[in-house]
Amino acid sequence: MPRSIRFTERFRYEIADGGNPPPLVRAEISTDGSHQIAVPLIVDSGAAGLLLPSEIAPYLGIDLSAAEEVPVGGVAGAGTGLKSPVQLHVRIGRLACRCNAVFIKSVMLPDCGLLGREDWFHNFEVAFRHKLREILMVSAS
Amino acid sequence: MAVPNPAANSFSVMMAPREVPLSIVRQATARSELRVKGEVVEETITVYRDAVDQEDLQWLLRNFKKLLERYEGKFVAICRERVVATGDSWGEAFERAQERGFTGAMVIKMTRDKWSRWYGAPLNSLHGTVSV
Repeated sequence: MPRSIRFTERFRYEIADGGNPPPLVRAEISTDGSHQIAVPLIVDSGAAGLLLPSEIAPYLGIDLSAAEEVPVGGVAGAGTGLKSPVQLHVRIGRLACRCNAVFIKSVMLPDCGLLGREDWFHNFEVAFRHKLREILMVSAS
Repeated sequence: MAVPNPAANSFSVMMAPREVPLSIVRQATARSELRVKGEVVEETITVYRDAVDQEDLQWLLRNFKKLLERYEGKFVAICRERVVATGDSWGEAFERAQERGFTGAMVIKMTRDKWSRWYGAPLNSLHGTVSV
């Protein structure tokens, strides 16, 4: 039985002058609703989960002083991240879910957060059409 | 041999996500390929819509070369398709935007070293490889 997936959301990330940007989306992240910030995220199926620059944690009302340390690694180098003690509410366009997150020093990030597999990719089907500079998403059935 | 399926339109409408205009659904249905193999109908319909709340990001991408020349090394807060605050740190730019009433501002650092990779070969990019 053939299966068809109907994507309901299209995110465009075309850059001027024919550049080659990574697949980017604008996300709204909050904890309890009173602290909400907008951040650009690279949709990254190679990352294990949601990685955010540690500078934004205080503005989300998150105290990382007692946060659990977790190893973080990639071609940018190895280091230590701090696991968020609370789940974050992540909304991208019309799609939203709660995600665990790891905060790391921004020197290890490309000036954006990374939206990795854990949580988001469990809840949503994600397709990349890089030639068209589009990301397609739909709730996973 | 393709044959008309009288249930195609109603099926498509039933399957359509909320908020998708009916005209788009009908258009997609008209474009879809309908094949009949025995009693099994295979139909592929792709209906999608542009995501909301992405205007600031797309504005950033459209104007990023100009912004890079003007704000290189700075953190910029973008809201309603314009730069509403700048700062030497993420927090400084964010707080200035908040003070000016732009609560939905998106802050990003304009760094030539990292952003310029977007114009280079994808394999040289660090993007998409960090994992925990």
